[in-house]
Amino acid sequence: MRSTRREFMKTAAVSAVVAATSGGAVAETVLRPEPIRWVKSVCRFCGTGCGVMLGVRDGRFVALRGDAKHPTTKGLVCAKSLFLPKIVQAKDRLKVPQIRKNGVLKDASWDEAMELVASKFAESIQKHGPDSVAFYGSGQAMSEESYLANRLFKGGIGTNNVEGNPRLCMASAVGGYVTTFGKDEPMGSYDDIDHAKVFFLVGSNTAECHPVIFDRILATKQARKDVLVIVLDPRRSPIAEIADVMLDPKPGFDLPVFHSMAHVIIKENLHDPDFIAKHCQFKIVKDGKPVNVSFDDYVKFLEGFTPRKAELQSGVPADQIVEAARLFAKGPTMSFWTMGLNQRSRGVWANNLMHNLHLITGQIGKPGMTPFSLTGQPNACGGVRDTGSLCHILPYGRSVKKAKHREEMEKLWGAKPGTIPPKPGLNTIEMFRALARDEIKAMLILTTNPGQSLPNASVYRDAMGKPRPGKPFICVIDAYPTRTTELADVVLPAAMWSEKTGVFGMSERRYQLHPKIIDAPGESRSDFDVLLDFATRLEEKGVVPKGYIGGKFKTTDDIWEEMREASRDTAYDFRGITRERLRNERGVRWPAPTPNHPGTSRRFVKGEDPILDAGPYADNTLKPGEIKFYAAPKFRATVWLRPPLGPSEPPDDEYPFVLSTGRVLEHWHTGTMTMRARELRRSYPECFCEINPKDAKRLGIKNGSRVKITSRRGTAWAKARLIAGPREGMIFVPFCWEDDPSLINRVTIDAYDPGSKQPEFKICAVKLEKA
Amino acid sequence: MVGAYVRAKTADLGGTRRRAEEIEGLETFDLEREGMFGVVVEGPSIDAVHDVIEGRLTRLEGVLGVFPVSLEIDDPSVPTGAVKGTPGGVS
Ligand code: SF4
Repeated sequence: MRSTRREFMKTAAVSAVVAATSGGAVAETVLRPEPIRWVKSVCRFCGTGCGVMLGVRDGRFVALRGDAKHPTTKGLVCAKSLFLPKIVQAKDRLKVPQIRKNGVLKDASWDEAMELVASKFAESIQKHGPDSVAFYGSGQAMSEESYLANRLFKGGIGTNNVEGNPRLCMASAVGGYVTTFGKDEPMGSYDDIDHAKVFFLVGSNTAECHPVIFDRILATKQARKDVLVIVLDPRRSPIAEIADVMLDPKPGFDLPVFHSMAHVIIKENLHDPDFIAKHCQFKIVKDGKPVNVSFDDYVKFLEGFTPRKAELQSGVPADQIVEAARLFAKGPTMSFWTMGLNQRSRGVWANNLMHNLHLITGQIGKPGMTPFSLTGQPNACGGVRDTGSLCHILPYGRSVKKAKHREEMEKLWGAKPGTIPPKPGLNTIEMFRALARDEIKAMLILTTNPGQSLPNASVYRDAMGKPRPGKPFICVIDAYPTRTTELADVVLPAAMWSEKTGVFGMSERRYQLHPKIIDAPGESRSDFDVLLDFATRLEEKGVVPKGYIGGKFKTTDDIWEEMREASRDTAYDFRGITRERLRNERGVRWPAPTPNHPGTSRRFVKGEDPILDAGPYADNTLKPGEIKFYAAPKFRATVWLRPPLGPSEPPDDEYPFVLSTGRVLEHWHTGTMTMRARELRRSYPECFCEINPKDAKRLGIKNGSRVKITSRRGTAWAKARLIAGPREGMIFVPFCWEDDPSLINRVTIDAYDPGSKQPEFKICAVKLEKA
Repeated sequence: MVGAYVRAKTADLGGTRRRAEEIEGLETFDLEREGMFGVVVEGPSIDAVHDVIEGRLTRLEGVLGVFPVSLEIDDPSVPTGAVKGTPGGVS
């Protein structure tokens, strides 16, 4: 019996692999007799959004495998997701609400905890006004949850103090898309991978952070011999292994490289004058205001970035810049980037310069040609960016600054006219600074771990948790104990993704449903339920109009109807993505305005993007395949002339190293989930610090010895790992470990991009010593 | 038990596969895909399987990436999710 079962498991494993690598025909037939019930879902981790099948047996979540029928990820998954059954069922899941009494968190009833939270918020709003409270959400909450919280705080309470952790990871990508094209989110999709011949990977450790995308790039490279990879990164991460051209600039000095590539492209006549004439405009910021300039001005500006000059600024050899520029122009080129570009004090500018290269070569809106920002969380795109759950925006491309947009949302939400303030709320760093000054009096933190993930963490940990008279009230909703729950006044136990039904929207604009397959442990509730309860209690206390939320929505299905309607007449129009479709299909890429629309692979292209066919942006004078940047001023995308400013804290004599932070394959962000799978934890049992062997030799640091990393803000300790990954003068430390000596965000800097407000996690000055 | 596929440097696919087969608890199979072969890794515990994949297979010369596709946990110690149910269970 045992061996039969073993053989069966083996056959199933082989079949799953064959299915994943051959388009999916086999898995269904072989697995049908298995006693496991397989349910279609989506991975809980990164923004790749892999389709997964969750296996349930006897009420237990026992297995996970890639969904071979998934149209874009085709059955592939990475090691992290395979451990989700164990992670979800970790023994230390939070199961009952807790209230801090005399400094200690004590079990409480839901009613007692919720009443306390609602009273503290109501009291603060009544005494100090709506802007004395704040919400800090997450790219891991379901879209319906983020939308509901946004609706409650902006349209119910009347504050724009709504933020979320995507501010820490993708705000610069948003800023880049919006300032260049007029609207957020990538115009291309994963389909472009199959058509590209050149991949430009910038500031992205794709192999470890988006392994399934990396595999598709690898597969393309193996299948077609003419596919080339350019990597631009000061650290040689595992993707350097497949780089045909490796550009490693001094950290923070890649802007001159982008400009120089543009210089070479134009000088060698590799640009696309027709595309530029039809679709582009050129701008520079003078005296704080954007000013239109000509193509000739741009060419003149680029004279300051000849490859030789750029080499002096960036450290990248001139001939490599030339080679990269020629390859890029030859194309078709698909660019991918993540935190290396975004987590910078000039993140928006870096994003703009990436777009510049695509615009001047006309490599947008055609197969294999697109600038594509990858995302780190499963629902930063669909959940936070699209639902407008940040302090300056409203759902589906609307802005709090525009009266028309505020009115539209107030009408749809049934809010009193004038409730949504016209001024943006506090961005993440300013929100936590206001908390430190005790100006924010009550904060709700949902599905995220700022006690570990904020830069300059010590200051904000104190803000959240240090006892003092008038200390703000902190409520944290999470599934696990974290470095943030330990600071909270109330902790509410949350259901995990497999214990609730909702939508995740991943990097390529695909909205996908994950269904509830098991009950949540103990008394845990979904964030959606908690928010409904919270809203109803605030209504009862008179700080939110009665009936504004209470009684309107029972399930996430109900609120989805309103969300679809909110997308009407916007560039996001997904009215056709019904709940029924989400249950039956493997997600749909917006825009998809009607139930029979198949979803959109390429935006801004007539014949592909339905927004050009009907509605406020329709243009029926265009021919199929023609491009129109319908959301940009005068329908022209902007090529920006940005100065090549470096990081906010460059190394100096006292702090001579650059610290960069990031992730490893097995661990995800602050490790709240992945550290709960013993197997994953064991692969990296302790925090490490990558050091270039030349630097290590100079400092007498041996592989495996302890090092001390100190900045102007704090200190952390890690185990030295000598590797020619980081360039000389740079070290790399993952931020996944929560234990105190390893908490690297005590060291990082909270300086942020003035446009996107995204902090510069990637670069700060430190000193490195033997511990 | 984990089913995975391995992407290897095409020029040395045969050699990489032979080296992989020397790892105890690991079997390979054809995938009829350029630069790829499949593996099934078995072990007494998930720890052991993980060690084989992360500690040995991914580090083999010629291996570009290992992509697990399925994992079966045959481990009765994994608790059931349900204890009390979700109050209000609305979503
Ligand atoms: S690549 Fe990302 S979405 Fe896909 S399985 Fe891995 S963590 Fe999940």
